[in-house]
Amino acid sequence: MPCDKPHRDELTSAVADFSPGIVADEEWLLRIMLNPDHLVDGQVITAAIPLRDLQTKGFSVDRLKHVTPLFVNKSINRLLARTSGGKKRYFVGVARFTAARVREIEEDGRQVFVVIDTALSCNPGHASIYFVARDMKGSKARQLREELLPLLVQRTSVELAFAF
Amino acid sequence: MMDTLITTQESIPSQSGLHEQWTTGTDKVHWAWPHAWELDRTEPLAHYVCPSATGMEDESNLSPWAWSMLWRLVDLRSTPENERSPIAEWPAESAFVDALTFTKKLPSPLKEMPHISLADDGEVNFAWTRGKLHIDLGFYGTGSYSYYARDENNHELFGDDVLVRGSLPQELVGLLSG
Repeated sequence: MPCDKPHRDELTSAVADFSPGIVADEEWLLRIMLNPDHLVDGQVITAAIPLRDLQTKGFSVDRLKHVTPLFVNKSINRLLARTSGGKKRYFVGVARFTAARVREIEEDGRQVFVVIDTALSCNPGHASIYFVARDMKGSKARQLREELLPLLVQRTSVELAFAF
Repeated sequence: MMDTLITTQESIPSQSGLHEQWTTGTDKVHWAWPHAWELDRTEPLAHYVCPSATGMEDESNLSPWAWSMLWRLVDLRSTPENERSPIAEWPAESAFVDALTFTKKLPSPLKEMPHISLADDGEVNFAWTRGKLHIDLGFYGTGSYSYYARDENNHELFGDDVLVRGSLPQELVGLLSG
């Protein structure tokens, strides 16, 4: 968890001390995708984006320009060292999307998600996605997280993610 | 308060001695959660889940979909601790039991099978998303659940704080019935 009481101000870093700065719209974000945790039969499942992450803990992503392929590969290897529900895990690519794609999701003209710089000492390139609204019914949260799922559909290899 | 899921260790076939005790609310509950390597599908499900949890004393009457869903839950719950994701929050025991309770209330036959998975935030998630149905429903072990559903005509349904021990909302029954 990046911080206990995450703010929703995209113009302020949550961890200014060692942060590389707030997340710009044009920045590429990465999310490691695993089967069967995040995909089943090639389809992204809803559980790939935990509701409580969006509500309080933060849905973790890596800021491409502040991480390296080696760092991402190490993260992947760490995740693959465990099984998922007793089943072997497989790396199926990294989802790659800009912060703007997250921020431009609206409902009734209002922004739904924010992307906050939540740098960690072990990963200065860490950022988090939250709902703008702090209090939200579970059903509404489920409806809105659907809007994020398409961002995880297109995936690429780690090498290609950094290549263009 | 008695609950159909409550059983006693004495009444559970003792195969491994690895049965765990846990509590939900004020209820003390004993449950037969084996470890993954102990699962043997040639054994009756009752070796792992007491008959009252399936709602059917005779397992031969258990529908294939119910049997499959209950096994899926047992499989997931039985993941050894050292195999669980280090960055994920493991669901509360009560979340698994809520999911079992919900499963036995589903209409038969089901229009579609859900995909049951564990989210990293401790949710046991049921998702119907592969066919015409769209339902996202989950348990955190609070004794209630929430859902968002959309029918074939894009009519949206919202449910919050639905009691697991209560009856299934009619709108869900309508969507799920085959």
